Amino acid sequence: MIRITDYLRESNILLEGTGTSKLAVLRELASLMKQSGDVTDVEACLSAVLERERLMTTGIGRGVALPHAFSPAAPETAIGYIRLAAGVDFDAVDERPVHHVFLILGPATTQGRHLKILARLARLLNHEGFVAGLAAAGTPQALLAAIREHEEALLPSS
Amino acid sequence: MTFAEPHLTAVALAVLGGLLVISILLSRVTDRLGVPGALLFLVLGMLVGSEGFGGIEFDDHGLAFRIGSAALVLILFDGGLNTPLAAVRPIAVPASILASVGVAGTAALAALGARLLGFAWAEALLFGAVVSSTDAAAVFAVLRGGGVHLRQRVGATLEFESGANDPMAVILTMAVTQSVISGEALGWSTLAGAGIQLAVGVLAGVLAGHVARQVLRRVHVTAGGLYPILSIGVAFFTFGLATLAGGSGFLAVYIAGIVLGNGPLPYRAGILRVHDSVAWFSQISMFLLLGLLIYPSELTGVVWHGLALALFLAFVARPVVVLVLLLPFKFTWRERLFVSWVGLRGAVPIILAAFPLLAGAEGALLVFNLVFFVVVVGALIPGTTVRWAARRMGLEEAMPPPPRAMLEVNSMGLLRGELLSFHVDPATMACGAAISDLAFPEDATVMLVVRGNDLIPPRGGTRLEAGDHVYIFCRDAAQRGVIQLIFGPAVEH
Repeated sequence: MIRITDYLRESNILLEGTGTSKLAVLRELASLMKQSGDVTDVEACLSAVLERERLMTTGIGRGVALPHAFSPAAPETAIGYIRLAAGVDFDAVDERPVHHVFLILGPATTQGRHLKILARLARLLNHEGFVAGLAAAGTPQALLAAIREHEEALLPSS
Repeated sequence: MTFAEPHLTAVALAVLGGLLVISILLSRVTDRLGVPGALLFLVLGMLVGSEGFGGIEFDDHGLAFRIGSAALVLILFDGGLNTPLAAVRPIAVPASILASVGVAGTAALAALGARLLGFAWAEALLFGAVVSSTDAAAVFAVLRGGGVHLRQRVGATLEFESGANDPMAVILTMAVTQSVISGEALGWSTLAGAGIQLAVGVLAGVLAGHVARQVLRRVHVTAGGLYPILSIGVAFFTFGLATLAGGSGFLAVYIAGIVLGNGPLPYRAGILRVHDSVAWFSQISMFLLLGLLIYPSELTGVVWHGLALALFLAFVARPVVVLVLLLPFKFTWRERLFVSWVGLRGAVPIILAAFPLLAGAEGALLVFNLVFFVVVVGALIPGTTVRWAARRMGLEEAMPPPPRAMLEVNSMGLLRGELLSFHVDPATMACGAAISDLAFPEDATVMLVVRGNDLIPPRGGTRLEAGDHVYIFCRDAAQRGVIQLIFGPAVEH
């Protein structure tokens, strides 16, 4: 069974995002993931992500967005997280500003894993207290702990 | 040779049937040209009319007004049923302003144009009011039927405007007719009266829509074919009641359609399909009627004035009004220009032009004949250039081709769950995935994959390819978000 926390590294978590537009936020996050070594080419990843956003926003409501794409510029499955205190217009389905962005990148060969991560994150959003937990975390460690806690509560204890 | 019954009826039905068949067969051609297909009926109507080879005498403007109103009610109701609220919400304000203030502005400019050509004020004002609204059926037909996929904001603005602006034109026409007959000048009270009629119309429409939804949900009719009849009844009833209550019946019908169409509806696919057909039929009838009403010999006297006014309307009056009114809103210049260009005039002006004629207003016949040119030119020029203009201005949106097969769940009762349809785009996670990898919520599943001409039974190992159409059943509407995250936007048929 996959775990979000297995793919979301501390170094890919930014609690004080500064971007004020969808593109700026995505670039900020992808650049962070490049520093961590999870992304080799920021622009290549961005263009793949934007290609998907063009079809339909991944801002799925409750102030959360889950942009994602396959790209050879992300050799391994990796998740990045950025928190935006002021909120950013992401064309979200509920038209509300987005405060939490999870960027999911990886090569096309890991499609099954990618899909499971997306589905898991989408399920977590509906889990009571998850979004509040993201907002309240003071450190990357606390954020990971909050995600872990909700993931355990969500999954059957097997 | 004189015919007696039943031969008279037989001849009439044979002619009518033949006309219907011919026009539908020709509709592929007209679609490609972007001409509202119903325009053909105008020509057919003239051909079989009193001065054509058919020699059918028809100059009953009262009957034409009544049939035309009924047809417009059905067209607007259908338009409302097919208007998704989600698409309307972001453009509701600018489109509403176009539909109210815009209509008044267009009417004023058109009147000014007519006055400059030397018409009396009474005739000019009547003319302005009658041609002031864009035609819902024509706009819907050109945008949807012509395969033009506009950027959503632009398409929704045009469609909502055209659906909601006929009422204002009706109100103006009635007011001007009244004023011409009574000799009282138009004043601020006219505007206030228009506002009240619109407000009452909206209220009545919302109310009727909600009541009708409850009725449709609660009443269990055994024959599925009766549901559309019930909804047609709702449309007529709403119009009548709202009008009697002092509101705009047309606006009420459009709003009631929106309310009904955006909620749960039993036997939905059946109801929508019937209304779609009925709306087409209505449009065709309106144009046929117009063709019959026109006496080509009377048109010759006003050819140049008619053409000049039609061009003035398309190239000056509408663009000026639209560009000014859309200025405060978040549209690009290209979008504003495009909206100003697609002001198609349809059969509505004909019905409206019949009203002052009925009421015996001075100059009404002249206006009636002028309107013919506005309708033909107003449908032909923007209509045939819509696709070109959309492409030229970069406002066209790539849309997946429709699937070769359609799956739908038809139920008379309201069952839980919905069937969603997706076009697999290479940019989505779904592309290339095995169905077993999709990690769906538990109460959702792939029902059918349509690949080209093949229907593929979805198995765990089936891989989705770019260009596939996938039907997914999901029991809980809340899961739609997750599925769209994986598949992109659901396709609306």
